[in-house]
Amino acid sequence: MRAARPPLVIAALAAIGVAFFALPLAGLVYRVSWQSALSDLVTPEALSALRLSLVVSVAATVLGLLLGVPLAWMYARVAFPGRNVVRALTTLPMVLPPVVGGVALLVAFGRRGLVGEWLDAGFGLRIPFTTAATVMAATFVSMPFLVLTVEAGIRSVDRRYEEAARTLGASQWRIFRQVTLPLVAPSLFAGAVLCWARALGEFGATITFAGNLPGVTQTLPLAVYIGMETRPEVAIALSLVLVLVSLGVLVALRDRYLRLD
Amino acid sequence: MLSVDIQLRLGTLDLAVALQAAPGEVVAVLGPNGAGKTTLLRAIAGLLPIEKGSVVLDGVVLEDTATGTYVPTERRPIGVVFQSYLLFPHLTVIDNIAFGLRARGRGRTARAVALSWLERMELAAYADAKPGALSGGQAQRVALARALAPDPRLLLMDEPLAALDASARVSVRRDLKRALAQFAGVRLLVTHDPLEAIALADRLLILEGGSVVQSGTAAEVTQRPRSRYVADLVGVNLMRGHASGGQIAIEGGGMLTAMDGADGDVFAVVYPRNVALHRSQPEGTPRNVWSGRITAVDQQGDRVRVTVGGAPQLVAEVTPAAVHELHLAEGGEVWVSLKAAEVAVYPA
Amino acid sequence: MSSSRSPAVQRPRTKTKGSRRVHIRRLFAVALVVVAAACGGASQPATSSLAPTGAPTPEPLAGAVTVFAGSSLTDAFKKAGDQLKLKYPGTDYRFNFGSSSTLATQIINGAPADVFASADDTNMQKIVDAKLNDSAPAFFVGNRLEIAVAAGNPKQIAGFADLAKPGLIVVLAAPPVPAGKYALEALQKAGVTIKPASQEVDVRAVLNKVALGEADAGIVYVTDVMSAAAHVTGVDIPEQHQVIARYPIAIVRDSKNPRLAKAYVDYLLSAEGQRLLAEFGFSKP
Repeated sequence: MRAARPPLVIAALAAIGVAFFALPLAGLVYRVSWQSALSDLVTPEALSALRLSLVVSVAATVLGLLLGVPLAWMYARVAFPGRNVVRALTTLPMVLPPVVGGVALLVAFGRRGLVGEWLDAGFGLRIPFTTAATVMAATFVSMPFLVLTVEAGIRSVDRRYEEAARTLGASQWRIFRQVTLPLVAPSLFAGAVLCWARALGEFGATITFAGNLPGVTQTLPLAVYIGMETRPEVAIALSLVLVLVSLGVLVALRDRYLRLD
Repeated sequence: MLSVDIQLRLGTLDLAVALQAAPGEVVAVLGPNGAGKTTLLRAIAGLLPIEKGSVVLDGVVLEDTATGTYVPTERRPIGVVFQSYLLFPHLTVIDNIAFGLRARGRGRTARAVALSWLERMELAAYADAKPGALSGGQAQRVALARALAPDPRLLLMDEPLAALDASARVSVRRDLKRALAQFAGVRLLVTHDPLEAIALADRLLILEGGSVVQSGTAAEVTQRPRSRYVADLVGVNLMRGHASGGQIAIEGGGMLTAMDGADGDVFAVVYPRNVALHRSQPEGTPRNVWSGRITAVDQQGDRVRVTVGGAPQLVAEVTPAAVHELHLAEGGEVWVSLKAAEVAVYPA
Repeated sequence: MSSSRSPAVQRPRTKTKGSRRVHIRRLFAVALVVVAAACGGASQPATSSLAPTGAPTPEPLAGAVTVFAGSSLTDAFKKAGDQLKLKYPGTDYRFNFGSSSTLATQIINGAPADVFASADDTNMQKIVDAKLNDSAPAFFVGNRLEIAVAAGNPKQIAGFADLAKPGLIVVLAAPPVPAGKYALEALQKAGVTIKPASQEVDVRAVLNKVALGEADAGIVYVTDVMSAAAHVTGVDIPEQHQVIARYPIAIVRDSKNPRLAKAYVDYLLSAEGQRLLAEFGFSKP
């Protein structure tokens, strides 16, 4: 069937939308000094930022899955009192400026924080300035994306499959593992990817809560920020790497996205 | 043996059903949409809470509101075939069938048992296929195998043929009957399709508005319908009235003369083919003669059903030629005659 | 920022004092002259062609300027702005504080600054190299380093050597930031190597981490310790390890209000301005 031609206004606005995103990216490609790009990237600082970003974003995603999936299940299936308030609370980091998130984390887990003080006094555990803090900051801002996506997925699972499983003798835990979870898998995947991408790009909360130290807490975005002042070519090369990696993941997963049911 | 005596309310439906089903007989609960058939099935399966009553299977109390007993669905020895089969889309056919076995702790032999079921259903080739690749009839067989594989004591089926198109229904119905015959436990199915019920079941229960209005073999039910629903199904004129010495005062108006001497509250059944229509008042032996206005003329195949309003209202079945000859049309006056011997009467 | 207004909107809608009405007409005249002067040549200092020779009454300054300054100047510059608002009513001063290196990059990339005050010469040099300054940079204050620790110095830190103690959380400004650079210089002079827990984006962030109790110590300016006297205690650095920071200031080219920009700079260079800066702990340049 031949598709109808889109209305001119829509096509024009869409084209502007594409340009809005494409031009900055094209600018990056244009400004990269290709001769030195490779050598720029294999400097110890750049490599450590790359490695750290990868580790932190994956760790944040794993943590997000571990805590976020049960949370999503509770929101979707259990009508506990105050559910709406709790859900709003855990979605807050999505709309909060990341720096504010960082301040909040500091107030809670900093050395003089609500929990941090107790951790320091009791166990000598200090969270800020550690890689763990970077993971926490990244998880804080990115987990809501996962929870939202997975909650929607769980809601859309046909409950009748779970009933069928019950008639076949399956316990609630078995139903969750073998029926609900596999049916939710596409949403799980999409949610994990969104979470990972957001964690990769986190800056404000990281620099406020975790600090900035190459090899420990200086993730790619921080390295780019600092790098812009001294060696812009490195910053631009790093930016391009970030963009290409993210783009690659998104393109590779586009089928999964489209097949979300 | 399944003994059900339950009452529950769901929305605007007040369900109150008492039934018994013995192993070896297939019981069908037949009724129009909204009668509560699926609700009944879900209640027996334990998926719906009952307000009052009990469900006992083979002497084991599955639910009893009097004692507060409730065995959760997953611990009831039942198998359910759902209307849309609900085969797990993410599992292969063989894993679907093995699911119940694994859930009940018989995982080691699960695959072998599932495979033997597949062979019995002649679907062994589809063992590793996904349910999406199956045709309607194949899916139905897999759903049945999945429900039966864990050896349940009760098989519940919700409109087992409804999801099939008309052409598949005939052959699948045959296969289903055969498969059901091989199951030794209690078999209960609900349906709105009388053909399905009559073809598959030994005993029918007619459910209307949440209550059982009639029960018996297919023959009993259709020959002596006790509800408009069944009467319409069978296509007879069904009336209710008070009989006294062969004269029946029909509910809603009119008198009929019958041969039977039954007295009291009765059902009167008249077959449309026994109702004669005349252009003018006939003289003759039929005891029941009156005139009325034609309210509908419907051609059905090679017969025409003419509805004559009046007291009582009756449907007559005549040939198209007769319609033409008598100029029978909506709004026209016509005389009706009916022999007393053709009014079947039985106690209400 | 620009004070040029078309005559059409000059009619005051609300009741204004009589002097304001006079001011507005004068504003218009000044605006015309400023525009003419600005078009006349970008590289010459804006003031020379403005003041009509022999005119007895100075034309009132108006409009607003944006000042980009190293974060150590935060409190002092804001106060200077307040003083100038009293001196020149109707003027406004907007600030962008950050690390001098970040600010320099922003200006080079076209940020609309009127005045740039850097905590070191390296970053000012970037502006000069890019020919973005309108006047020769002038050193206007100096600053010295100090170690900031928690109020009361609970960990009893006496000097650089103590900073190297294991288990102590020390933060510095990142190397491109002037304060970070000076700190590394000073540490080198003292022959001490420390492993900072974080390299903050500007010196105020270092101060904040110490003030919040997240870090045990940080190397900042004396002016920073002074500004947060309630929350931090300063530990002196011996003269031989000290690094003197000299802050240059310049008017940025293509400023929309070069007259006001110059007024701001002149104020800082004046005796009154220097007294104000000294109040905050700055020293002579």
